[in-house]
Amino acid sequence: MPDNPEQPDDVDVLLRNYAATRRTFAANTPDLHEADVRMLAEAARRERTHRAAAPAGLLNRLRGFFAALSTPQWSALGATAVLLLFFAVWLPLREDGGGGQGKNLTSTKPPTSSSQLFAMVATTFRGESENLQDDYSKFDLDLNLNTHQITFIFTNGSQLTGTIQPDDAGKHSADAPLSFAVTASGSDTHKLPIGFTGVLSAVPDAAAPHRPKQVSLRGILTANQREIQFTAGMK
Amino acid sequence: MLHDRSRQIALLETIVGPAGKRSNAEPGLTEFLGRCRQADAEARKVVLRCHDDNSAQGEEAELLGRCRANDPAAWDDLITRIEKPLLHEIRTQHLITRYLAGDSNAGVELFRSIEAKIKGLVCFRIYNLTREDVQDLVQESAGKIFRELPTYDSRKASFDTFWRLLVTQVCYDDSEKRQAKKRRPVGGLESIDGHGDGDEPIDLPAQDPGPSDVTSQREEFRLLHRALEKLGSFDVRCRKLFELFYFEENSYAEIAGILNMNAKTVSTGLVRCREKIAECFPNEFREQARRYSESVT
Repeated sequence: MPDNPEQPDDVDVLLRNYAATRRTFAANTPDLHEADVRMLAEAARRERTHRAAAPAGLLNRLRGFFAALSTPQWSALGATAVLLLFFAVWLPLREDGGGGQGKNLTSTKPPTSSSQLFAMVATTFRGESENLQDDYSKFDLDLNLNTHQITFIFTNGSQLTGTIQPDDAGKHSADAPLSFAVTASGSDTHKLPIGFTGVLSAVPDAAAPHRPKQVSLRGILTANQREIQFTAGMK
Repeated sequence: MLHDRSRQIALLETIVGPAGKRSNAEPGLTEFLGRCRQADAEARKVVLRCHDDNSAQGEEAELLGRCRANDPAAWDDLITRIEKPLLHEIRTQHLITRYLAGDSNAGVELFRSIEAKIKGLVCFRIYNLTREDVQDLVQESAGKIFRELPTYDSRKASFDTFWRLLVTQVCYDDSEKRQAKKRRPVGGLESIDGHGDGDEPIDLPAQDPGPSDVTSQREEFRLLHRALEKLGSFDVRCRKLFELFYFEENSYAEIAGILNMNAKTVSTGLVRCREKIAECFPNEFREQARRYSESVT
């Protein structure tokens, strides 16, 4: 018996008694036959070999796949692939959906709606009126489609500032002109008020999507207490 | 803690290399321990380095201190203490490696080295077994051990801990089956010769159990088992301690090595487990102990 410094109690006595009885019982139980043990050992070995040689089931393959993915190298590769996939899907969607404002500088697709055209950069056109007297015949037109602002600067020094708003909410075909309602007001060289109300038409350019191929203005210019039909093309 | 497993592993890896990369390391270990006995300074330094973590207490700390002072008797004592578990570890590892490489003889030898302990564990765990039941459970345990052997990692636990866990699972499953059988609804008729509903013939219990079967089912043992069952989760630890101490007659230090705990904790744990058991049926236990004492005298 092992050394037991504690005072033997009732349970201790019982446990010793029980252990002695069970030890005798165990000792009198015959050992397994050698052939049986060998058979068990070989059966387990065969099972292992069989399992290793058998083609992996779908579950095992999946398990193996995910186990492989859990290594650092594969995790890094997987993360890169997911990022690439994300950009591959997201960028075209972003361009097509037209949600962006003022950032869409790299697309090669022509804008197909006025809101897309609004995403264009600020642009300056040189305009020439066909039916105005000399002092209003030439002007520079600053279009900032990001801020919806328009500025006319006539060569005679008169200046108009206003806003443009798309008046076609729907989609357009690639070559259909986009139209904007233009309202602007300002003063001439004599500080007299002048104003403009009309329409700006822009034809998208498939080759240069962020600069319209053709822009024209039509409307009424109010100056010197007169209303003048204003038609201008832009270069 | 001379039986500390992490120390054993560290010492073995220093002396004969990691478990997976050594074939038969026994000659190497024997030669190393021989050098330690013959006062080889380098060899002794290796042993001391592996025990140099200040976790030894009491007698062990004192022994290590004497070894550091190069006391020949202390060195003899130390080597004798560490030799047996190290050799056991190496031999077991060698048998496992050989078996996994396809040598069935090694598998048989490995099983034979633990068969008596498995039988004992089964008998201690379940008290109302016949000899045939024990043999069946031992066979089932052997199959399980062989099947699970490739998953054994000597760095995580000793082989003793590994097979004990598997045998305990076998015993637990068997107990569950017995409980389920007891719960089978009464009233249904079953064929005893197998000609009824295609069932296998029922294995009827022997009419006259042998004398040792009678003693194994004595009332006090039934009481003991009922008390163990009442302990709930505490029971797992207590059973383990009782098995190792009462049944296998291991010393506190040996149990500490197997369960990877302090020898003092083992001693305290045993006392606490006995107290818990006694709390379950205080009067009954007193009565049983009195009867037992009377029968002995």
